[in-house]
Amino acid sequence: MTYSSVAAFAAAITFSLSVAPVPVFADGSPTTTSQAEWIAITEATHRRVVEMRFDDAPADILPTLLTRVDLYDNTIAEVRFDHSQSVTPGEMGVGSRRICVFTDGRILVEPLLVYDPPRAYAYTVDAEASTMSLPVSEIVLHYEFRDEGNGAHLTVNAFYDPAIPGTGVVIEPVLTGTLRRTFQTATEVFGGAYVGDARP
Amino acid sequence: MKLKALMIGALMSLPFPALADGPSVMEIITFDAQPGASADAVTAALGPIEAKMGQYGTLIARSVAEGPAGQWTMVNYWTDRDAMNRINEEALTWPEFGALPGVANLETLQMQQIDVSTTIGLGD
Repeated sequence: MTYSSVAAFAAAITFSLSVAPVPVFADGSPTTTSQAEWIAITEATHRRVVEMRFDDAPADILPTLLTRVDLYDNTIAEVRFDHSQSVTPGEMGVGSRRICVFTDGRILVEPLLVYDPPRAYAYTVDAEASTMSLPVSEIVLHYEFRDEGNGAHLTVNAFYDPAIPGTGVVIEPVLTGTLRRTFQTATEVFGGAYVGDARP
Repeated sequence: MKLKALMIGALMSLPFPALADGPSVMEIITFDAQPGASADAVTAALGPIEAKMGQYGTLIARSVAEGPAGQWTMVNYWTDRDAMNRINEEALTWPEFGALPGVANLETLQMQQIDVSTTIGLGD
């Protein structure tokens, strides 16, 4: 890279920083790309972070986790997809709807909000289209994968708001336990290790 | 699992018209008590929840038992799966649940539902 191209590059960065709003949280702290992504997709106020690693690379483990929930959650009998509302109709994309069919026949319809393989995906729950009810008014699960050379590190951010204010004291531990057991099972089934979970 | 002799409300039959119908679902719920929580404290917290669940006429019988290492097991018999699902979905939002996190580690709460066609010893 020549000096002039470096200067032009620096100028371009400076220009873009000066005209593009830098995403920040309400407290003014800057965000990473994924944090900006979260802000764009949810206003939920509760969050739980789950960390784990997989032996497979992000390009391999991302589609497996997204499409084979039935392999690591024994309450789910079948997973279907409806791509009719995808931004790329007929193919997996933002707007695609994952339909988890539980062993008792109830369904949970989960529209994709982010689909950026092999880096990330996120989904919410369409409560009106689902026959299973959750005690939350909003829920978003954001999956972000990092290639570690010999596998993938996955960070799942679960955002939610209790359906009824004041019930978070009950809902948070129940949701935490469910997330923990589900992802512990995923690492056992697909090969990997559960790292931990926390409330940031 | 071998449960400690302490049995709380062993297979208590609930006096509702729904008793005319046998249960179609058995539900097994387990959780660990919070460290230091006494059996009396756990049962005191469960009492109001059980009373509320009993108001719908779809909970036929229920037993609560404490295990040897502070694990608690509840067995509920429901008239039907839809009623059970509806009440379970609502239950997490009930004020009656408010005291439970203080005595029960809800991160360990697990539920399993099993379809049943015949039961013995439920007072029928």
